[in-house]
Amino acid sequence: MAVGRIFDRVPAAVRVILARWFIYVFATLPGLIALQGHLGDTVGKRPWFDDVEMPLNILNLRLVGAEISDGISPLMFGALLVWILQLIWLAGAARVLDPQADAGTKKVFANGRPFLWRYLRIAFFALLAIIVVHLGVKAVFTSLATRAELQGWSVVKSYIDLNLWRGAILFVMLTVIGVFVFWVRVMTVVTDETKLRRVPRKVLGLLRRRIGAAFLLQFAAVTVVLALQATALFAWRQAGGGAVWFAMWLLLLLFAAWVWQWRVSSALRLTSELR
Amino acid sequence: MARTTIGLLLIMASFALSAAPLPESNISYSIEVRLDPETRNLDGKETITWRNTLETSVDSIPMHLYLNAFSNRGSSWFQKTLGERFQESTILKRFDDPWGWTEPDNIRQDGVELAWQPVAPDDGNHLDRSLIEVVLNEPLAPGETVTLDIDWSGRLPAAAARTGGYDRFFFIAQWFPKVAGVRPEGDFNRHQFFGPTEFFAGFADYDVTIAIPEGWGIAATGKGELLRTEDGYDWHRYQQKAVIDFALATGADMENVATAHELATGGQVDIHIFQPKGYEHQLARWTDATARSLDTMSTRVLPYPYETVTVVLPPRAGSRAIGMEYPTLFTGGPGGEIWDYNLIKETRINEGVIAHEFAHQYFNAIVATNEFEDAFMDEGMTEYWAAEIMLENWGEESGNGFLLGRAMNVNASSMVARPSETNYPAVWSGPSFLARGYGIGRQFYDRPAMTFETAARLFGQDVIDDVFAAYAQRWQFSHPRVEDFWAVADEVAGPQVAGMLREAYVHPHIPDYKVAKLEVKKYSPPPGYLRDGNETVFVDVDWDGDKKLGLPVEALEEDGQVLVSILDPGHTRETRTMGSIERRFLDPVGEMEGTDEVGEVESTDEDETSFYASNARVVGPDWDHLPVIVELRFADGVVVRDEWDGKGVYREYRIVRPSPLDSVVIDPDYNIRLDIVPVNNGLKHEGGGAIPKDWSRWLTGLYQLFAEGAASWL
Repeated sequence: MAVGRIFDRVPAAVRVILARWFIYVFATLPGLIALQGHLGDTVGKRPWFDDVEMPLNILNLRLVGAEISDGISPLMFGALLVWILQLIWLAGAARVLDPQADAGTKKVFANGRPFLWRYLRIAFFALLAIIVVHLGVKAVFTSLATRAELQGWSVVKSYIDLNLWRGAILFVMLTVIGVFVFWVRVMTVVTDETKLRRVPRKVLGLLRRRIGAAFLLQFAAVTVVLALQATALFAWRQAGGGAVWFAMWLLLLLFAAWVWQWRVSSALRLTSELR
Repeated sequence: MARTTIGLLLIMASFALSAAPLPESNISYSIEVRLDPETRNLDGKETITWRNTLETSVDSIPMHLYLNAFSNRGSSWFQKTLGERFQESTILKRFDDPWGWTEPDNIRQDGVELAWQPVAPDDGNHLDRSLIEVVLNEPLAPGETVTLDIDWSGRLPAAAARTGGYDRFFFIAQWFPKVAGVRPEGDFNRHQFFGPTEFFAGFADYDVTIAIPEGWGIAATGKGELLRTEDGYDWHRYQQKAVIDFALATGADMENVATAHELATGGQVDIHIFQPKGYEHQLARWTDATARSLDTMSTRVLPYPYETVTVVLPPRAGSRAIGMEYPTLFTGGPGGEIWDYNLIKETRINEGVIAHEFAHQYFNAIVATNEFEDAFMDEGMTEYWAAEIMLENWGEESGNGFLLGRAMNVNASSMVARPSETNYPAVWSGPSFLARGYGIGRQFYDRPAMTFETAARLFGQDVIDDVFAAYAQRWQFSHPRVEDFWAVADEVAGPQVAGMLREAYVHPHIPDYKVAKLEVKKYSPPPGYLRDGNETVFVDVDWDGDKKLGLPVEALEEDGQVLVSILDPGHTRETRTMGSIERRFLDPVGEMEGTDEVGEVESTDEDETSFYASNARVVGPDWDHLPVIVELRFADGVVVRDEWDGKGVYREYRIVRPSPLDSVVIDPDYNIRLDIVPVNNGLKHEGGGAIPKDWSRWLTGLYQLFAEGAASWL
């Protein structure tokens, strides 16, 4: 309880950042421990891997990959848990960080929990939108692949460039959906709206009025965080690993939590101006 | 053996290798054909002379119309094909009419039209017209020759399964009515065309005149010349003696560049690279890869007997033709800027494809085995020799180049799999075109290739080279079965080698050695009554007296030898071989890294007087010809080796020593390349190393990234 009281005295923004970081780290910690145990009993007990050079060659990469697949379930569960917890945390943060919130609104989790069901319903519709977008992108690129074959596009253009563009466009589309979903969630909390179908219109109105701050900056923030994390993981693996990379990764998670807090605060400021 | 010594032996051996002059063929084809690129139509006239080499008279001659495999979805090729070799799901969407076919307009013998009809001896499929039976005017006695004149029409498919094309590029293979080959058993190879396997034919002399649009590039089997240009068509003539097939490629934007290469064994071969225009800077690379392949195969197997070899690197329109072999001509990977692409250019994927398809010049273009029935013969030998070409020229670790800075090893990576994937039928199973329900890549390619690789490591590279050289020498321009290969192996290398090769082909399941158990306990006197000198000592469960009580004196290792009790459960074949428990004294052979000198006991415990009872079980495939070394590594650095003959399904080791068993490794030099799961060949008592910790953290990071993505999008 004493720790809780001390924690309550920490500025709300810092609490939100640290707690989100904790969610990511601790929700996946059982998975990390389980996988480490699994790999310790498999890869760790195989003399084959004793003297392998880093980064692993393609053969050893395959062999390690084969051992990993049997021990990955706890991590998958951890990632799912992270996603659900951060839903609650988003709702709670939107309450706690709101400049117009009551002075007594401090409990992030308690404030966020009542919104979970609404947030899950939003996720369902987001998933539908993602499926539709995915099918649309697939149809377009299948048609382009046909054109590539019939018009004799080069191999690089047909097989590499087309797939890279497909990935990039899908990423952009998903992020556009993601930013919209984020706003729907923030707006749901701010307006305490129970009829979700009324929220998108409000969000669209806001995005129309403040396209730069409400959409482009949010889009850029998501893209930067995901790109940074993906690049860091790729570089980590290419470098062959090490404790420094893990430490750097934990810092990157903290940076992601800060960016997320900034997104929530920025969104709340915008809605505050418009309220 | 030192590399220089091996090199000298190879040079000496190369003088002993000789290709026979091209033999006289009992078949000749004289073909005139015109390609219409707009319609993909082929208009052909063909004269076949065929001398009956069978021991009996022949009433009718079976002929392949391979293009009819692509005439409809009901063909046996479609019905029985594995996976999506035709890529029907895309090709049917992309082309209104992708279908191809061949149909004789008439077949004449001495001016008299012959009757013919489609036959389907394999599956009775009435929709399949890939094989026809042509009834002769009168029976043809052994040694007699018949001449058949055929007018035929055909249409190439829209680039499918290594043949066809559209627009401005065509790869033309399996395109003309072709007499079925004669099997070693002395009858015709009456098989329809099925998806999983390829072709079989007799050696023939080809004289082919083909008309292609004026100015288009061309490459074909044999040596060619431009005869004339008329009505917008270039008429080219290509000739080649003693080959089993004839294929060609043509394209509007292709160029054919030849470079003369002096073979390491003497003589000259013209290397042709047929690739899209504009990539001249890549020519040297592909020519070099082909030249290296020529020299490796010529010095170690048989001097290349033909005057030309052509590598076709198709443009995008011909990408379904990549990686396929025809006599004196084959397709590599796709041609063009893919090999300048940053991610790809450090790899030697195309060199690997060239090495593989070139090795097919020997197996099955020169040593012409039956791909319908014995696909494992040519594909397995080719896969092995492709790896040898890459190893000899570029090294094992870097042979296939680098992908994102990571070495792509030449060997092993395609063979390794999960333990559950050992359940395969014998390699020798046949006919190959009926292969179903398992990976034909592993069955036809990897298993035989790794058999030869394993044999080379167990018996010596020079021994296996000698076997292949003798096999190619004896069976060039002939049609052997695998039994003939085993016979050569027996003659050249002896029964052990031949036995191993045979066992690897007839034994179902893929071998997997593994360490199943490794247990270590601190030694304590067993509870009960023990004799200590003249006294009887009662040892209770809480005994804290003399900890060495009951210890065998050999465990003290005063002579430096390690006592190992080996439990061999015996094995059964036609008769039973009883097992035994053998007490064997083994001399330490070395030390593990990071430990003290051999025999010097390093303290692994706070109590230096402790002894350890270690127990390990290794299991194996119970083959007769797959012996392995089992290495027992102890925590004090002592290493002992047991030579296990591999017979019996397991073997157990029990050791009481001053130091615990740290790890057990079967086949420490990784000679058994045939082992499908090499990583389980070793087991340590304690886990450790950097990989589990670092990879767990990294994967956690990866899943945290997934969670971040989900949080950002959902």
